Amino acid sequence: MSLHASSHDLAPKQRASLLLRLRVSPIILVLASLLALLILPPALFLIDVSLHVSNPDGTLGEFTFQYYKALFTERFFLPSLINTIIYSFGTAIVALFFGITQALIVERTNAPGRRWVFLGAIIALGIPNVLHVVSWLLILGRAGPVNDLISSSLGPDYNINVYSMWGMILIEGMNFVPLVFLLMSAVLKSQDASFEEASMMSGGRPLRTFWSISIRMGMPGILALLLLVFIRAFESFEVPALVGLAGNINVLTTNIYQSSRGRGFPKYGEAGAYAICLLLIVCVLIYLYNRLSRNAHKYQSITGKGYRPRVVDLGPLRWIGTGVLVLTFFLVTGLPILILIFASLQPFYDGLRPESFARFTSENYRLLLDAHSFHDAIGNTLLMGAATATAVIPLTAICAWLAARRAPGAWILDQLATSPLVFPAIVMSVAFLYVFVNMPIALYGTLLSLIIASTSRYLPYGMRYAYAGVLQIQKELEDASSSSGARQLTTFLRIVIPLLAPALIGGWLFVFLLSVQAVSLPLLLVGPGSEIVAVTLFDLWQNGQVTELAAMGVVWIALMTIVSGIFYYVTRRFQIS
Amino acid sequence: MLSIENLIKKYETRSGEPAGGAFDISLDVKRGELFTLLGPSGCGKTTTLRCIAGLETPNAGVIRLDGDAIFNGASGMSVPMYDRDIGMVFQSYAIWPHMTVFDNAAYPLRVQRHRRLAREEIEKRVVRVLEMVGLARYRGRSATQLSGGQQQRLALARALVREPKLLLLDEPLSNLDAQLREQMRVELKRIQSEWGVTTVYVTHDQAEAMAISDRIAVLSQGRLMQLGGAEEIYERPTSEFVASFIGRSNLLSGRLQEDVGDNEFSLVESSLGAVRCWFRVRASSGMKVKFLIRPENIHCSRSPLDGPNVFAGKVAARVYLGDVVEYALQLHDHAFIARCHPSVSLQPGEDVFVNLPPDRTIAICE
Repeated sequence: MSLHASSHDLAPKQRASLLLRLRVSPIILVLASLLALLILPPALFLIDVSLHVSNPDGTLGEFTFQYYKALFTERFFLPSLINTIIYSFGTAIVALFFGITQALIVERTNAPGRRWVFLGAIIALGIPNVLHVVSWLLILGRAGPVNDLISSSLGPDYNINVYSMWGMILIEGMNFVPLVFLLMSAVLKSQDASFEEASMMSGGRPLRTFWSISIRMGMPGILALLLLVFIRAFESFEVPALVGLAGNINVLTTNIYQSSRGRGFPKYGEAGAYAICLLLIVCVLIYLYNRLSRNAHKYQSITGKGYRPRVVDLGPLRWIGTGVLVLTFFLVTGLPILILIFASLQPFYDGLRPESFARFTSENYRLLLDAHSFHDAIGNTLLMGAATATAVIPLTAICAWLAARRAPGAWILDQLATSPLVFPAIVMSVAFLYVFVNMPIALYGTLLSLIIASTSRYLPYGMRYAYAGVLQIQKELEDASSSSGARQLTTFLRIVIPLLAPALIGGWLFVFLLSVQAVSLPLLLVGPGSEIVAVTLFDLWQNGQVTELAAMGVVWIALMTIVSGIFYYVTRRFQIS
Repeated sequence: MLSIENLIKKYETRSGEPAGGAFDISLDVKRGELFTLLGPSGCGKTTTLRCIAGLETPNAGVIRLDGDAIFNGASGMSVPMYDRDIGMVFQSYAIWPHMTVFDNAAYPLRVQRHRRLAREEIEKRVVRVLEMVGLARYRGRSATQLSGGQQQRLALARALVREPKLLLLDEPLSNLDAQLREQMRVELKRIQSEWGVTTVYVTHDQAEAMAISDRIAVLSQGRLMQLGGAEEIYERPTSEFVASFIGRSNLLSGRLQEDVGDNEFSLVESSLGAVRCWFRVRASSGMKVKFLIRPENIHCSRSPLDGPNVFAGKVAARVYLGDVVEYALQLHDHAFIARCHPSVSLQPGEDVFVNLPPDRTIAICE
């Protein structure tokens, strides 16, 4: 009888808690609207502008499908798409070839000094893409040392033209080698050695084991990596703009750039339609990538405890391994930096000739240090990077925590914060351009507009760091705080944030590094007074001021190497994945 | 079948300090035997196993398989692991996720160099081994769809399919839950004796070792402490370590009163009084010795007992476990643990007489 009564008493309480559970907390509503405010306007403007006639004065006319129709009827779109695919695929092959070779030698052999490759990869992380491209153009360009060598040995009629498809592929491929190396070495590190040992114990010789076990088990990971580089090249801008446009090779990203900043008035509708197409393609590719990498993880998940990767003793051959590492480091990082340093010490650049060694000068650096514009650009860039990272990290920390702990309705935060990933940088740049130009407040061209755009752009990166960090924290640690009587906010501030700090610091530095070297996002948004380094470097190249560019680049690389060094230290020290 | 002589494998930490390994291990494994390396973690049992497999290169020593040296530290000779004809089951099973159950088990036959097998022959042998472990109906399944216990069976099938001279098992049951573990223990023993394959088994679980082994080698800190059958090791431990690692025991120290020969009894003077102990090896008068007695070998009684080694004491505490009752006893200054049949019912605070049977009171001279 008493049992009956008590269960009756419980029922209304349960009903109340169900209602409570369904109710979304106000914090989530606030966060969701904040994220929506950052992400939705550019997306909506983009769709809007691609569906209306753009007038010469920048206003929108009546509804139309003409820009989409034009994409499929004009003979420009298809060749660009094919170019983009060839270029992206080639890039992925080049990057994977060098990156995987490096990772295999570093993680699986005893080549002396192999750990230093990480340092090289970290330096490379701090070099803005635009500088990387420029230095390769200095090496392989018409006046460069490679062409000098070829024409002096084979005759004046022989030379190579870097402003071509193979030039684009080579340069962009080299650019992605450090990324591939870092990701691949993480994959190799997490492979359980006993899979290979089991093959050896079954009588499989080393080559057979490598082929049947190591490569086959690594395949999903390698394919995912291939697709990742493919996507990144697909939406890349620097190489297509600096190499492709000069050689009349158009890809989708440069089409968008030219439509919105071409001769005459900007063709917003055309750019919008191109941008939407690119966005849709990237969506599909990212969907494929997620499926592939989940597959790769499925393979990784069957590992036992106490695994360690298998290291192959190369014997006397190990020095060849070291040689390969040194050579790739030299190609990927050393050579570009050396040519920049060389060019920065010249009054004008015409390749590596005997006479050029007689005219070393520090004039470029003197001019640079005196120039106000240079100081402004550096100040602006550091401010923008710091502000972006400082906005992104706390926001994503809360979102990631709520999402990882499955707070009701928090999935929407996860979706919103990761959605900018499908926007290629140049698409986002165009979209924000519309937003700022059409805003009642004069934001266009200000540093604040740059900060807003890059905050939106780098949300997914912050999210990834914070989410991984939260998953590493055991739920019990928080429950213990709650059962000690702490409210949710107290638990978050006193328990979650301190435990999450290393991941957040790593994420902050990562977002900082990415945002300060981006060219394509700020390119359409900068105005007088908001110059930033990467865009200034881009402009200097367009103006042919090679030696000033080189000097500025050298100073900037030195600065960024310090930041990326700290980043590396933090991630190593606290073992952030 | 397998003989190891003076095997040494040292590990060092990054700062150069020694960190585990095996020091001077010698042992012989007989044909068809299930031989267990038993010890706590870090005792060198896995190191020894990996040296036999060829996954580690020892610093010194000789390893012979079926009379032929597969490793010789003096000449630097080492047969590569894939030519040793040894099957191995890994702790993590290492079932290749990109292959089916059949492909996993067929792999050792397919990679053979010296004798190419016909498809039908491979089919026949793989089916046979899969039937033996009860996986024949899963042959087409992807290895990722197997449960832990099934993965373990498959790992065993893969290790046995080419009928190796030697089978190595590295803590094969440690990743299974308790119930499955006992089931697999029986299964493992059945398959091993059916195939008659000589087996070296590594575990840290003494109950597991005693249940399945023909002989056990107890290792500690890289050294071989004792080698023998389960009974011998439990009943007649030769060191304090073995006595306390395997089962529980009451340990006391004292001084030997007279010279004693191999397998003889003698009196040891301790704080408890003179205790008659069994000596495995000869020892001389005046030596400091320790002696031990297992809790279940102590006879307890309320009334005075006859015979040697009878002492009086008090019951300090009593734990009723159903099949036995465990008593904490106070004999002079020593705390003893005794396990008695429930029919002997003593209460805390009661006076008690205990008898330590001399043939169960084992002297240890270290």
